[in-house]
Amino acid sequence: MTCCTVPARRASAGVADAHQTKDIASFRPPVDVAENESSFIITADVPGSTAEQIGIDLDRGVLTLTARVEPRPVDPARPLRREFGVGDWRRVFRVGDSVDASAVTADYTAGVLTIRLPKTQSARARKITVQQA
Amino acid sequence: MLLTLRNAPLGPTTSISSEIDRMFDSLFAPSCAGAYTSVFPAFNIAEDDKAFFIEAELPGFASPDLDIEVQGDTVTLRGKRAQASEQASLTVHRRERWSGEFERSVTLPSDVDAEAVTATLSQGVLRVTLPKSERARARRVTVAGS
Repeated sequence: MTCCTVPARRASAGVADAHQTKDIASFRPPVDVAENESSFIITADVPGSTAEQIGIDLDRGVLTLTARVEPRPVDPARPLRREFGVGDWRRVFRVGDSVDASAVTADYTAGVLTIRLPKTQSARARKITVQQA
Repeated sequence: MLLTLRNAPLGPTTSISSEIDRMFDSLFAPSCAGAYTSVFPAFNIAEDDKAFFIEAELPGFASPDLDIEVQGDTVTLRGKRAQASEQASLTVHRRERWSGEFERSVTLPSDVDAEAVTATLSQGVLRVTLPKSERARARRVTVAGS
């Protein structure tokens, strides 16, 4: 059972982002990262977005994932308790040149984003047979 | 490991900002992204004259995984999320997403009509509408100004 957080944090500067100029805090989603022989798999909890509002950008070995979340106004209701903030999700990973950028696929279901990043041929582990003399 | 995360502890890409990130992580852990509390799941609660509204972010949960129980003014939410990537062929590098079972109860300012409670789950966001009970509504007396 793990979970992590940083409350209300702004997008870090440096990597271009379409709505970075907007004055909205972006949150850092919790992720699982795994790999198998052929791919890396990143799973991120980014609830409240839609497939159309998710951006996955792989540029020079840096993977930036953004998920736009529309504000959810409670009007005309009065807030009684506020335990979490609602805003865009954003997270940056360094993947180096081990990923085949043209073959990356992603799926967004029930607020969970799954990104599959196939490895390049050279990044895959090779078995080397030792020849007997 | 070919995939290095920006804030991987002492990884080759460690920078001052990622060190600060890690400090924040340890300060606020265990909790959930966007949450101001360490309780899972975090709730945003609102009310109007007729009902209370509870919102919770529960990504990866399906409706059958969730159970809402209402008794008087107390609402209990239970749920379960299984670890998705349990395949033997996978090497896990990082696991931050919450998994397991949870149970959380909140006491609302007044009784609710348990029969009329409704809930929707969309893109991992649960919204529960809890109409106030007639009795609770009737208790409100408006004092007329002179």
